[in-house]
Amino acid sequence: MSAIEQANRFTRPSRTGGETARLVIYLVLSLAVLAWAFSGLEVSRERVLRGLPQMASLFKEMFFPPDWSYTPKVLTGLRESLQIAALGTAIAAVLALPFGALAARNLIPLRGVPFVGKTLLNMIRTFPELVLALVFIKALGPGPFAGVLAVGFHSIGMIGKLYAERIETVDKNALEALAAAGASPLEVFRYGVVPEVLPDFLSFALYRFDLNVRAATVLGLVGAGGIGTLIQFQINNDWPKVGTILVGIIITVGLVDFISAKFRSRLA
Amino acid sequence: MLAILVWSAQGTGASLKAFAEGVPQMLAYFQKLSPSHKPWPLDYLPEIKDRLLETVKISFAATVIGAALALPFVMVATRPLAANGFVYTLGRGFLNLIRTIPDLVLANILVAGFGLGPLPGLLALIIFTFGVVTKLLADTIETVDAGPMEAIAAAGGTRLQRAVFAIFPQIAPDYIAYSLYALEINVRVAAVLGLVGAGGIGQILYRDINFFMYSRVGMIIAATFVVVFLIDSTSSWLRSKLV
Repeated sequence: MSAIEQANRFTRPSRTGGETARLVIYLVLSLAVLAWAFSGLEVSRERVLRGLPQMASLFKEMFFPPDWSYTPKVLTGLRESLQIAALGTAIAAVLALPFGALAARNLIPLRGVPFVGKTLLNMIRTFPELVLALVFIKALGPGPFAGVLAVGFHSIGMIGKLYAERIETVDKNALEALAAAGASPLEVFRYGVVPEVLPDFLSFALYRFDLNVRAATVLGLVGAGGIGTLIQFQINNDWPKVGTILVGIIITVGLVDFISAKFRSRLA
Repeated sequence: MLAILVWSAQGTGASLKAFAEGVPQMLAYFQKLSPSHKPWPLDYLPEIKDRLLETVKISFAATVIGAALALPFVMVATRPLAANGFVYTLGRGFLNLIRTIPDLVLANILVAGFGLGPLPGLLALIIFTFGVVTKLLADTIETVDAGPMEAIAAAGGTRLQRAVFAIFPQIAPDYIAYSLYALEINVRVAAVLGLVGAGGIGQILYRDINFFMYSRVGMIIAATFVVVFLIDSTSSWLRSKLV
């Protein structure tokens, strides 16, 4: 028995037949998915090979060097993206509260309600922000406001689900004690649930804000405001400016991620 | 925080008044999309089906390829497996860098290089999947039980042997769960890739919206909703069974 086998044996039962079989099943399944996915997809090796040198030259045009004179415009666009993300997240964080409460299994005594609540949240989250943005633009006209609504609506789905899952971990006995002491359901929620879950709720909203900053950078591609508007203008037109935009996005998203993670680790 | 929100509302032109004024317009628009306004043109279904299939294919292929690429990359992006601190810092840095580029921006630029069609969309989603899965996997590996790894190291095992025999068996369920998670995001993104010319259902959605083909738009949105919802629900159900 080799040293590796020994070490292996030491930590867990030796590789069983079932485990190997499962590995093989996963591999075969992945390959089958791949084969199916590539059938009829207009993707060819030749196009990949033709595109690569073109990408390389675009890359060179964008970043060596970027057009720094475009920086003020980029900053304005980034500011608008951050504003869209902040407002959209705030709207969703508030609107998700009733959904989260309804979808939590331990608050509502009726069994059907949490199921309906969860399904509703899943349905909300199904619509991609950009599809929502397109519809809001057609109804309200182009601009960042349509972006705010798209981000706000879409985010309810994820934030509401996280809220519900967190509420479900609240100690049931404490809630029952409050109810036994004569507190109304609303009071039970206010004094039994809210104080305990609030830091985590803030943390969820901050996490969603990260994702929304990314989303708000692409809304402009369809006319819903933010830095994406500039991408739409400059792409295929002035590549060094696109380079500046990309540098701006990378720095902004990276900073927001970093700061939000710092805040969240403090909340936890 | 309130100050930030007020500043944001001013910057984006958002207000309750604007919203209240918009509501009737929105309702009127949704009315036009619904089949009660005008029956949906059922002969449009085959084209919707083809385009949706393309969306699903792009997201599935990107998930499998991106997740497969993630596995070897953890060898440089995790502290226990990287050859040294420098390689680790470089690996993590690269990972963080590609994760900051929004998927659609990437797709948009790739369209310029590779031309219109599903190829740039596929490439953008592969890069995105690779970033998400590697990041989650690397974070998991750094919290994994170090006992087996030390045993193998003590027995003279190489880095690769440590990864294959001590780490991968421990993280296999997580790896599949993260891949499914990436798939859920990919389906949604693949549905809108067409807005920048990168294939899938988004392409005809964008066209029909701009040409005011209300019934068609309603149909596309409904069909996309069903497909995304089904894949999303199945995948998150599978994930809940895994972990």
